[in-house]
Amino acid sequence: MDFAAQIAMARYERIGEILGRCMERVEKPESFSDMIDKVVLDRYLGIPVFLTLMWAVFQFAFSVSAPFSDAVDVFFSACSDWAKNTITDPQLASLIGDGIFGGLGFVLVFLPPIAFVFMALAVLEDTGYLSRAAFVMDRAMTKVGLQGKSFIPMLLGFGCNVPAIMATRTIENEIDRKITIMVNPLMSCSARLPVYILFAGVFFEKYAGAVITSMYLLGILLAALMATLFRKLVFGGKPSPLLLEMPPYTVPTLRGVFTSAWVRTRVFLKKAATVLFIGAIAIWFLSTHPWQATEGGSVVENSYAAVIGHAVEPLIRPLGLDWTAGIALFAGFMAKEIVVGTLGIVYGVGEENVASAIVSHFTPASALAMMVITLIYLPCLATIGILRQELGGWKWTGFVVAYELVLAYMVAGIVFLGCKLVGVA
Amino acid sequence: MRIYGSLLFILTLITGLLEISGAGIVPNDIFGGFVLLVISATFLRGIAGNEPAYFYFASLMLAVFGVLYLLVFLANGLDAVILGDEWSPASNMRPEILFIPLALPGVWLMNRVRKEVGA
Repeated sequence: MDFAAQIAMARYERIGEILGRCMERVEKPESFSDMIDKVVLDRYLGIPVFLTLMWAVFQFAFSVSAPFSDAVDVFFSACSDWAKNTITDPQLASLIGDGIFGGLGFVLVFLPPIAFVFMALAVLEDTGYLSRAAFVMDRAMTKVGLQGKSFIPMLLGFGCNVPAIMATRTIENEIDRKITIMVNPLMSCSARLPVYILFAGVFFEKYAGAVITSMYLLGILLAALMATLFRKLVFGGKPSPLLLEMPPYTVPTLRGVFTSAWVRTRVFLKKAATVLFIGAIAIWFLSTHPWQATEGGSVVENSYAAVIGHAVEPLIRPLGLDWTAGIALFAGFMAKEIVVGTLGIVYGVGEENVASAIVSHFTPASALAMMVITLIYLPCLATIGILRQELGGWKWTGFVVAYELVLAYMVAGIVFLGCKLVGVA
Repeated sequence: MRIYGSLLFILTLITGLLEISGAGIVPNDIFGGFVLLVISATFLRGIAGNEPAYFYFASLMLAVFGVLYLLVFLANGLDAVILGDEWSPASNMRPEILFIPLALPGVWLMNRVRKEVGA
């Protein structure tokens, strides 16, 4: 028990003493909150009820928000097409169409799930359930150096790491919050799924489901391992004990929910969008320049991005990956969703035929290595923007990027060599 | 209340098992099935211990998930309109949506108790 917990305990003991002397205990009638707590804090049902409510948050945030994200995407795609068809100077058209409108679309497509996550969390918070949820999960999370409130951001990470990292704002203790943020990118977000589906479908046809599930499990295991290591080696101490006053249950108001969600979403809009937007323009520049050599951005092989792909090739060659994987991984830095599309562009086959093209560039072992790297390596640009914002600067953001790169390389190497050893080519 | 709770327990248990196994007319959804099993277990706990709180809460969860799947249903329809895809209401229908009216008595009772005893 740490110093703060001891003070809190002593305080409560003293309060108990004073109250014992000046108050007479009478049988308190069971309140509505007591009744509900009986269910949500039930020894057997507490955790299953919590998991089902988290599933509801997940569904609300990512399924119900989907048409809004698609509307944003469709709108900016139309703007991009309009710019490219209207502006006569091809370089300016590409800058405005692909760089600016494409970049804006890429940034704002994250807005609906973020807003929906915050709406769902505001409902749980305003009803009074969130403190119960933290209590229910505390024991399991403490074992890996985190605390009860860390569970919700970790779970949301399966959808998108951006709102998940922002959801750590419910954690008051700075170190607990930092560790939760730092391991969150290891939770496999939905953007990585197309990469798993492609490679597992092509190279592990019968066992595709098991391979994809193993990627998710690997992410969870690594997050638990890294959280334990960060707690022991970097930050020290123990997860802060949960001292919670359980608020009575209330019916949330629409105004309260929307205000809370808006205040949190506005932070994303104001700060992260600036970082993201500049980053998106930078990636556009790298993948379309030198302008002459790339024939107006259509021959990616001659772009600066390709130079980077070739530059990283010696590093990824021991994992069975060539420069095309290097470009795809580099592009995946902008958003993991475009890894598959980038491979399609590089092989000149388009996204829909990329499955048949990757067979000549990957083996089952290198495909597994590629999936592992996609799971662990650099967080996407959006996540890095949020990491910088939530970790308060580049120092810890740089640390996250560095440890993920090293970890990705190590784990992918182990997987690749392990496959070779057991005879998987 | 116990008889009604028992009926809802059986209904959610069977539907949950069907969703997990993928057999029958309900859509195959492991997580959706798990949710129904948890709701079913909550009803069962209420019946076994004669605790109305479990019945109220299980009804509330049934209503919450019904409304949630209704929102997903509408979102899928809207998404299909935006993307110009085909969408059929029948293939997107979920049993949880049909359970909403069945959950209402429990939710109504819960609200009445909340008003009577206070938060």
